[in-house]
Amino acid sequence: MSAGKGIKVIVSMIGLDGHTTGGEVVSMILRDAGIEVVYLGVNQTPEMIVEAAIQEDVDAIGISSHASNYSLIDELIALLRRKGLQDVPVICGGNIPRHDIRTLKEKGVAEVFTPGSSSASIVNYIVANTGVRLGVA
Amino acid sequence: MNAPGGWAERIGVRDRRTIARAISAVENETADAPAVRAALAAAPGHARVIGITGPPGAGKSTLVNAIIREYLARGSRVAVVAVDPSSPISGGAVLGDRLRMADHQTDERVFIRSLASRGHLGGLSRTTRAVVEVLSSARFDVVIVETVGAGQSEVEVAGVADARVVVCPPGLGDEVQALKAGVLEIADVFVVNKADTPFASRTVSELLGMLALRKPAAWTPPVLCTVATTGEGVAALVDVLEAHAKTVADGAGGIWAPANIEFRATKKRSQIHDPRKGFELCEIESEVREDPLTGETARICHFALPARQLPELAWLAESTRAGCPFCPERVEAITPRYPDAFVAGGRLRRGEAVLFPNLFPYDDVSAIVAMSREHFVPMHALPPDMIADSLKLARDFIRDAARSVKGREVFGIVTWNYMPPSGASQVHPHMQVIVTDTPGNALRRELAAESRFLERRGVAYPRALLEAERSAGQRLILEEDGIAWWAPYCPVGMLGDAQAVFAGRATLGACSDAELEAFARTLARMAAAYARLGQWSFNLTLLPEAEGGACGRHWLTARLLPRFYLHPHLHNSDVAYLQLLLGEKFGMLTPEAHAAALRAQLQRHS
Repeated sequence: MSAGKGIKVIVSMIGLDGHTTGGEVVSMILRDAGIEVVYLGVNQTPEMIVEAAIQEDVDAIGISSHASNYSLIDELIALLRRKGLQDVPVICGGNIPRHDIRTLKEKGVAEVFTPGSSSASIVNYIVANTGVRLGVA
Repeated sequence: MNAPGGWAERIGVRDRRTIARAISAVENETADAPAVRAALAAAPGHARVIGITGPPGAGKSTLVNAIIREYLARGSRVAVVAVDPSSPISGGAVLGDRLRMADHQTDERVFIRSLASRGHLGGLSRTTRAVVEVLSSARFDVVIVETVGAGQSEVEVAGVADARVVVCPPGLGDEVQALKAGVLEIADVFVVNKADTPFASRTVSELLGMLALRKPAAWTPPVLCTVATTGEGVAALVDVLEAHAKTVADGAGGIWAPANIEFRATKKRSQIHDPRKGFELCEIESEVREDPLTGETARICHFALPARQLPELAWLAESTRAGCPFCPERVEAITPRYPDAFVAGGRLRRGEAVLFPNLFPYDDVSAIVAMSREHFVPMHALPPDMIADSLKLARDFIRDAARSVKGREVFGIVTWNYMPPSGASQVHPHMQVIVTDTPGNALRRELAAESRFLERRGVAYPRALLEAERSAGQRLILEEDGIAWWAPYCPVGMLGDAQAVFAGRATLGACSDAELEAFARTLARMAAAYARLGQWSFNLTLLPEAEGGACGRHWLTARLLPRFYLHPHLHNSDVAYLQLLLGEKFGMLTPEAHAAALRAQLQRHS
């Protein structure tokens, strides 16, 4: 139940994508796994997400994408690299077509979860791919 | 992390990643935490800290967003610490305050950090104060602390912020709600947000009605109206916050202004030719401290600490087992019973604890609680359940017994003398409970001094002291679930001691089961920390207000005093002429060093 203890992530939509349900459901799944989720909501630019990632010192960024807004995801990854945050994995979720998954991964997205992904698979991936902070009581 | 120039320098130039990581370090107590704290201590900031509290959905985050904009317009740099609750089930959290502050997400003059409360009650997270210190050290002019959606008693922000804004949404209740104690008492400013909705004017008039009943003070909290979504009324709010800052700076302050607790000490210097240094002329320092409440003096001197050595505790336990009157196989046959009219059945039980009269009573009502079935319970592993059950049993007994005791004021005093150096004649863990009109000279003097303090300052001394100890920080040991432990400024124990307060609780009878369980957990951890420092005995006394009293002047206070034979072979006592004949407290350790040693032990084993 608290496999994710000590992990802090961002969950956000990007650009003009106004579909919030997926991001909210995933936020609750992560919360129930013991993860601290900074929920940014809609209308976030890559700059806003990167700034939040810096200030919140998160271990991963989750982007919920239901509007084929991949160029902004590319920009987000480029900006993370420019700001020295290349070690913060970007994980995407949503109705993303299979051929786009390959492109996203080539661009540097760490993992993509499509509809039907189990809660456990998302939680397990995050737990396995983030350095759990030490010293959390 | 590799921090060229070090933490202090990089925080000082507002390097955003360094600030963020410094916050993570103190929040998660990582290996970097000591270095960060050292950097903060070396370059403390002077940010004005504004607390924003109020019930869920009052519009706190949206109001913070509007306040940020107003401060930026006035040329200030603003940091925000926004606390949201952690799940009590999974420990996870969804931190959603930042969402309402998106206007300032990429502004260089703004830094926003979300914190999960991580099970800490009181409206903040345990480390909020330290996080505020990081941001203050990064030379933000204003740090805004937003609490979790607060009910009525989440008032911890009062001790962190210089100015407290209580946000009241319209239409949550009638004037009785406004009279209640708690969050409304800590406000320097009331904001009725969502003022464009019905009921807003009624809420304003109810708050004003409540304030009209208060005694006049240098700062009367104003009641302002805002519409945070449009920014209406926010400039006026910031004007008021600035005016409040000036009033506080002038020394007046609101009802919650830190109540000028003075920690006074005088250094003493003895000039001698020291044989240990070839008879060189030396000065040896000692210190006389004044108790901030009573003015009584305490000495910190004679720094000749003997090496600690534990006796053969297993032997002590075995050799006292056969004749122990409190062991379960003998307790019924050997210990006395109360008359049925006083205690039905003669004895009381709860969990493993058994309460019965003391065969050698100290007063009209003088009982013993045999705390466990086990004859010997080692100090590093005192079970919290054993402590909690015994305290609950004592609490319920006091409540009933107090009715039978004549006297204007009746006190129910619980003491645990653990192991022989404390004066205990039995190894088996047991508490003394006396219900009496004669609470002892120390408590009587303390209560009288607290009455005077309340009259002069308008605030309960323990509340002011807790705030002062929190802001001094160096004597604080542990704060958890509403129980704060610190090393008293004037030590009672030769090798240090500790005290705890039950915030807002006057007597044991006022404490819920959950509160006693929380206290028991912290006491067990404190005792374990002392055990790891080589101690093996203590006195613990809970000093209450009179039964039925409110928490206006006094809070239930626990004093934990480790006891020992000064020299393990000589069996000389840790109480000497200073304490007994001169009536003066005496310690060989500074309380600050003592608190640091205990904190280190607690951290290592948390």
